[in-house]
Amino acid sequence: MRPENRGISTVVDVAMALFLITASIGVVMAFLDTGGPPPDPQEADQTAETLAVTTMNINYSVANVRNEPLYPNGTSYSGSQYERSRYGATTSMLAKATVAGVSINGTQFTRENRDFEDGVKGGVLESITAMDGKTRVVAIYRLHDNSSVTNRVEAGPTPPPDADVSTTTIEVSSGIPPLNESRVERKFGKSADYDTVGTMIAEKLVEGYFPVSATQIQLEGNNETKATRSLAVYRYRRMERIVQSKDDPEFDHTDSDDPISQHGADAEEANELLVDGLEEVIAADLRESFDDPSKEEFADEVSTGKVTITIQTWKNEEA
Amino acid sequence: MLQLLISETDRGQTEPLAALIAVTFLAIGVALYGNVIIDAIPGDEQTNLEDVTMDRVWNEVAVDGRYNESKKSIDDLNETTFPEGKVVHVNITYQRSDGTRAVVTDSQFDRSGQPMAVDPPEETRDTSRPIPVSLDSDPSGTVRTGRLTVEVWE
Repeated sequence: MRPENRGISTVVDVAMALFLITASIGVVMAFLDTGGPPPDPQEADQTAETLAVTTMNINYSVANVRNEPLYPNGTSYSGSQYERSRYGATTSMLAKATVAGVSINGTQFTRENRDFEDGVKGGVLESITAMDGKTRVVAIYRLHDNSSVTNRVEAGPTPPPDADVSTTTIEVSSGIPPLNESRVERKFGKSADYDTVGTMIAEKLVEGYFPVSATQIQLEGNNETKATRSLAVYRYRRMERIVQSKDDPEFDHTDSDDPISQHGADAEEANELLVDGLEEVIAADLRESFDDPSKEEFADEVSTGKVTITIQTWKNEEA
Repeated sequence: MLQLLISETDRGQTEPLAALIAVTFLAIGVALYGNVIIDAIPGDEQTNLEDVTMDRVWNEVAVDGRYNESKKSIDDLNETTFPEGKVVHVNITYQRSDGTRAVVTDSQFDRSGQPMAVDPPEETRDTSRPIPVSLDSDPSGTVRTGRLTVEVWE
């Protein structure tokens, strides 16, 4: 090549450069231009704030419990005995409905709350419609990520697959007493022991579902106004059924001082018996889900006290 | 041909015309890219006047996180809440239990922030957010879901 010809390929170079630049702009434009309106990143947060303040008043019935085989026979029936009403902030009602329907390995702790859950879902949906309908709310309760003790309540439409979705997650108190994280860490670290933590969790769950003083009153009471005694007995029997298959605890209801009989009513003792059975079920659940975690990781993962609510919002594709 | 005229001292020089065209296209490309990317990056919403105004209105008027007309109404707002030299239209609605939408308040403020007759032009930029609304007419104390909409124009 003669020296004066160096640099002669500039026309091809420039053409090539122009082509590449144009192509890259084209690619960027093509990808950015198809997505419809961009999501408002604040919309999900604002929706969460709004749902935490708006309230709902749910009137529902627990009468479906009368079809349950474990429900005491011969409980008198006058419609209003099974009518209930609850009032609260939308997010906390949603958390209550989620906890009320929790199941273990697919078996619900108690089944009288179906109508309550439907009512809450309806209330949430009403709120969503009032906002503009493009919102989905999912509430989840679970002891840890892979726990078989869990429930999920959803309301609202699912976002279209091509929508840009803005998401926010809030934690709401579940009404079940929370575990003390540092205590779990201490216990677990000492003995690497699923049983100890299983007992702690079982205690919290039983305390949450059968609060001692309220349950004592229900057990001692009669069914005249709200069928509360029959319901309490039903809930105990059902929990007993769930934990009974695991060897020992005997739930003998023929004894004269049976803790769930009206005269021998003793919620504290009845709860201890439940914990004895439930702790093994929970320990088995933990053993199955965790593979040699560090104590910090374990304590961080396991919780009883919160319901996680995820809120998704999106916008309509512009026509 | 141009090459034939180039002496040895001109070696390596690019053709000025091609270089100019390249630079021009590059500049145009960057400009186009810049325009698109600014729209596409989320998080710049706050720079919109109507969003800022909506946040200011909501922060001023919310009592216990909700709108309660008897405690503090839109018309009680100080004129400094609104951007100077702009007309602002504020509208709050909620949904009745039968699904129809009802207006809680509908106000407009002139360029100095004083209340005026409501008459928004056809084409304005608006923004809205969900808010909780308490109604005095509702003895049950239910806090409903409402929507706050703000329009701003010159």
